[in-house]
Amino acid sequence: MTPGVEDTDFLLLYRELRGLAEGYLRRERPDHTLQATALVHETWERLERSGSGGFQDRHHFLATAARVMRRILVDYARSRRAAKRGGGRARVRVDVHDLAASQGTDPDAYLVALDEALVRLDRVDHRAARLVELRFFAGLSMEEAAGVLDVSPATAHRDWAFARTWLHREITRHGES
Amino acid sequence: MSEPREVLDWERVKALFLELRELAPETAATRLDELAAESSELADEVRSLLQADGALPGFLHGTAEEALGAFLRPDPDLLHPGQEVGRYVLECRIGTGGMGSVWKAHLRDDPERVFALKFIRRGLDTAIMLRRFAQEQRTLALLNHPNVAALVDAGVTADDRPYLVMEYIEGASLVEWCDERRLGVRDRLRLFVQVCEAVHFMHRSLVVHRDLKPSNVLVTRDGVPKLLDFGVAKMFSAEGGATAPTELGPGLLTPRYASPEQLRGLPVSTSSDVYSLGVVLFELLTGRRPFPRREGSFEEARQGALDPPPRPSQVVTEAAAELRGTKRDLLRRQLRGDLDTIVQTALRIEPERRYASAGHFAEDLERHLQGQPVVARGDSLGYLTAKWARRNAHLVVAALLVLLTVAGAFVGIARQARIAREEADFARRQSDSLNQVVDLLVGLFESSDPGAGNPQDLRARDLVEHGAELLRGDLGGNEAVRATLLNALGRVFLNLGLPDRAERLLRDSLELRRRTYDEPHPQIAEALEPWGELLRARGRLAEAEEVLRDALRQWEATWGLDHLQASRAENALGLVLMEEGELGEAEQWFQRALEVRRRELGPDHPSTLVVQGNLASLLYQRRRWAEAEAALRSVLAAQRAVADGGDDLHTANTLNNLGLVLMEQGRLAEAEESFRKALDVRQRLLERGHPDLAATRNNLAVARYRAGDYSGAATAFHEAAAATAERLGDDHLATLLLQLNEARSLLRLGRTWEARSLLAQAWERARRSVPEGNAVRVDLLQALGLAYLAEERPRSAESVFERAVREYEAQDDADPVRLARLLLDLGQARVDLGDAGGAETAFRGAREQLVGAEVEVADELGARVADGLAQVEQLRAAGRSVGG
Repeated sequence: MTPGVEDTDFLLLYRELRGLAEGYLRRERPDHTLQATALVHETWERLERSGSGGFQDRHHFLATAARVMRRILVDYARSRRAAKRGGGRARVRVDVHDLAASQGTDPDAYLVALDEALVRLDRVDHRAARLVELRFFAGLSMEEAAGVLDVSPATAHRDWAFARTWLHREITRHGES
Repeated sequence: MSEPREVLDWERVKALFLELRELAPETAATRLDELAAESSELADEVRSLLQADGALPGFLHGTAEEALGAFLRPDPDLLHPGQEVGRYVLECRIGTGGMGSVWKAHLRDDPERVFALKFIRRGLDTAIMLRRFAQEQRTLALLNHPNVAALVDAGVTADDRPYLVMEYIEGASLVEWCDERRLGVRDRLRLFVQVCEAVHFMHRSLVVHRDLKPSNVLVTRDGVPKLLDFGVAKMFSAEGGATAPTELGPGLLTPRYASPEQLRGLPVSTSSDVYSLGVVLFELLTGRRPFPRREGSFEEARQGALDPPPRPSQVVTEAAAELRGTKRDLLRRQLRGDLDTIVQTALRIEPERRYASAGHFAEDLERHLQGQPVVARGDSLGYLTAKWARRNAHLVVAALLVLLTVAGAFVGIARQARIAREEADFARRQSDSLNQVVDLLVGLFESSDPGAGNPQDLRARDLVEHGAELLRGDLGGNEAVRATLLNALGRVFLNLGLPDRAERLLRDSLELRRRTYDEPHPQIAEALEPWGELLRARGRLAEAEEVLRDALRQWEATWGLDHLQASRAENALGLVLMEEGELGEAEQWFQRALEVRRRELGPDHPSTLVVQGNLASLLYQRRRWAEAEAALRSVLAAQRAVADGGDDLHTANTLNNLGLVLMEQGRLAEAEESFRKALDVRQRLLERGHPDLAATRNNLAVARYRAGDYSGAATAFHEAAAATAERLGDDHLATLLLQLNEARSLLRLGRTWEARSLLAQAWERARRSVPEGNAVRVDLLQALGLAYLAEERPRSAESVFERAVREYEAQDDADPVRLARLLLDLGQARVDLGDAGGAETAFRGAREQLVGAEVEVADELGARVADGLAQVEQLRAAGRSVGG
C-alpha cells in the first residue's frame, strides 16, 4: 500500500468500512466471532444491494477491502501509540518474545511494525505481501485469498510460508536494532 | 558489498528457502554448503530464513482484528511478562479466550522447562467453581494419553485466581498442518483417527471436551496430534454437571463446531464431542465447514442449530482438491459413499443417532481406510457387494465368471438331457460340486457382513487362501468336488493377477480330472481352458494355443462349441491368435464366442462386451473400419447405459478407439469429436501425464494433423509431449514419439528451424536411449532429414537418410514400402546435392521395393520414383550442357 495512489474504489470502501470498523473497535465486544471477514462480507452485500459499488468483481472488491482494512487498523494502532507517548512517532520497538507469540503485550506496536515490514516485503515479493494483507487484514481463508490473487492454493501456501518467515525475521531484526 | 540484500535474487532465495525447509536438516545443511561456494550471501540469506522458520509458532495466525481485539479490553488478568506465579515465571501471553488468558511460562528454577499456564477470567471464580476446579483437576491429572496435552499442575494465584499448568505444545492447527503439506484424504483420515482415539480415551473417563475445533488440535512438527484443553470447559463452567448454561453464552463456545444440543442449551454428553469431531472431519476433508449459518453471530448459529449437514462430496472445490493433492472429481469420488455417510452419521442432530462413541467413529474410519464395509452404511446386500467389488475388482470379475460358469454348466446339462448314463452320473455330481462352489462364493460375501463376524478378518484373498487350504482337507473323498474347487480357485488367482499361485491349483485340477475321466471330457476341457490362459499370461503363446485347441476339441466332441463354457476357450484362443498375428482365425473364434454370449447372456452383458471389444480391436488391426466402428458403437451404447448415459473411463476408452477407427476412415471431424470427448473424461479423472491421457491427446493431434490443422496439431502434440516428459522423462519412447509428431506439424507449418532443432535434440536422446532397430529411431531420422532438406542442407540430409536406410534395412521385418519411402527421400537429398548417380541408385532401389506392394501405394510411390528419375535425367542434361 503506497500512500497517494489510492483510487476511487479505495476511498469509497474506506468510508464504508471505517464507519463499521470504528464502531466495532470502540465497542467492547465479549465475543470476537465477528471478524474482519464478516465486516468485509457485510460491506460487499450492502454495496451489492445499494448498487453503489464500482467494483468490477468480488475479487477486486476483496483486494481493495484488504488494503482498506490494513489502513484502518494500522492507523488506529498508530494513533493509540501516539496517544500513549504523547504524540510523535517513535521508532517501533518490539519485544521478540511478543512476536513469537503472535500477539504481544503491545498489539499496537506489533501492527505498526508489521505494516512497516510489509512495505519492505512488497518490494521483495509483491504477491506474498498482498497475500498477508488478504489473510491477516481482511481475514480471508487461504483458499479465498488464493482466488483473489489468481494463484493455486498450493502456491498461496508457499507464499504464505515465505512471507511469515520473512516478516518475522524482518520485524525481529528491526525490533532489536 | 555495503548493500548485499539489494542485489540478492529474491525469487531464487524464496525458491531455495521453500525447497530446503522440506528437507532433512542434514541434507539442507549440505545444500547450503554447496550454495555458499556459489554465493555466500545467497547461502546466508537462505540460512537465516531457515533459522527464522522454526521459531514462529502462532505468528500471523488469526487476523489483525483479532490481535487488536484481544487487547482492546482492559487486561482482565492484570498479568505481565516476568511475573512469578507459583513456581513459574510468565514469558508472554499466547492467547486470550472467553475463559481467560493463556501464557507461556517456564519453571523458575529451570528456564528450559516451558509450560502453558491457563488463567480463569476474573468474575468467574466463585467458590463453587473453585471446588469443582479442584475436583476436575485431580481427575485430569490422572489421565495421560500421548495425544492429549497433559495437565501437569494447577494452582491458585496470590489473589485467589486458579490456573492450570499444561504441557506446552508447539505446532500448527490440524487443518493448517494438513493443508501446508497437501496431505491426501487417506493421510488426513489417519491423523484424524488418532484424534478420535484420544477423545475416546478421555471419554472413557467421562471427561468431555466440549470445545473441540481444529485450533484445539495441534500437530507437532513430528506429526503427532495433540488435543488441547481437554475437560477445561467444564472446569471453567460455574455449575458443572451435564447442563451448564453459562457455557452456552458467547465467548465460551465456538458456535462453528458446537453441537445442536450445545447451541440450544440442552444437556451435553460425550456425543457432543462426536458431533464436533464430525464438523472438524468435514472441514479436514473439504476445506470448508458444513454450516454457513454458524459462521456469524451466536444468535444466528442458534437459529441454525437444526440445519441438516450437506454431503462432503457435494461441496468440494478444485482448490480444495489441489490442497489434497488431487483433482476435484477424484476427491469427490473419494468422498462419495462411505465418507459422506460417516461424516453425516457423526453430524446427526439427535445425539442418540450419532456414533455411539468417538471410538466407533474411529473404527468406522479405520474400516474405510482398509476398504472394509463401514458400519454407518448399514448392511444392504447391494452395498456389501459393491464394496467387496471395489476392494477386489479382479476377484469379483473372477467370481462372476465362476458364477457364470455355473449357469453355463446348467444350461449345458439341460441341453444334454439324453447323454449317456456315465455322463448323467457326472452331471449329477457336477451339480453337487458346483453347488459347493456357489456356497463357497456366497460364503465369501456373507462373511463380509459386519454383523456376521469380525470384519477385521475379512480379506477376500485370505478367504480364497482359506478355501485352497480346505481343499487339502477331507472333502468326503469326492475327487470331483476337489477338482472343481481347485479349478475355481485357480481361476480366481489367475484373475487376481497371481499366476504363480494359480499354477499349482490349475495343474492339480487338470491332473485330477485327467485321472478321473477319459478324454474327451467336458471336465477336462473346462480345466484346460484356464491352464491355457495361464500360459498366455506367461507369454508362452505356442503352448497356450495348443492347450486351448485341445480344450476346444474336447468341447466339440462332447457338449459342442455352442455354449458358455466353450466360449471362454474360444475367446482365449482368439486372444492368443491375435497376439500371434493370426488375425483371420482369431476373428472366427471371437465371432463364435460373441454369438454364444449374445444368445445366452444378452447383447449388453459385460461378458458379451468384453468379447465384442476384443473383436473390435481385431477388426481395427485388420483395417475393417466399418465393422470395427459398428462393434465399438454397440459397446459404447451398452457402457453408457451402465454409466447412466454419461461418460466414464470405460466409455473414454471406447471413444478413444472409436476415434481411431473414424480417423482411419477419413472422418476427421467425427474422429476429433470422439477424441475430444475421451480427452474430457480422461483429463477429469486421470492425473496429468497419465499415459492414456497422452495417448488421447496424441490421437486428437493426429486427427487435426490429418485434417490439415497443423497449428492445432502442433499445440496438442506439444502439450502431450511436455506432460509425458514430466512423467516418464525426456528420453522415453513416448516423449520422443510425441516430439517427432510435433516436429512434423511444425514442418508442415514451415517452421523449419523449430522443427529441426526439436528433432536434432530428440534424435540425440534417442541415439543413446532407444535401441537400434526401433522404428522410432528411423522415424526421427527421416523427419530430421526432411527438416534439413527444407533448410536446404542436403549434405546433412543425405547422411541422416543414409543412416535411416542402413538401420531400417538391418531389421528382419522391414516393410518394403517404408524402405521405399526412405530411399525416395535419400534420392531427393542426392538430387539436391547434384549427385545424379547416387540419386539414381536410391530411386531404383525404391522401385525394387515396390514390387508386390498394394496397387494404390505402388502407384503413388511409383510416380515419385518416376519423378525422381526425371530429375536425375535433368541433372545429367544440365551437367552435359555445362560440360559441353
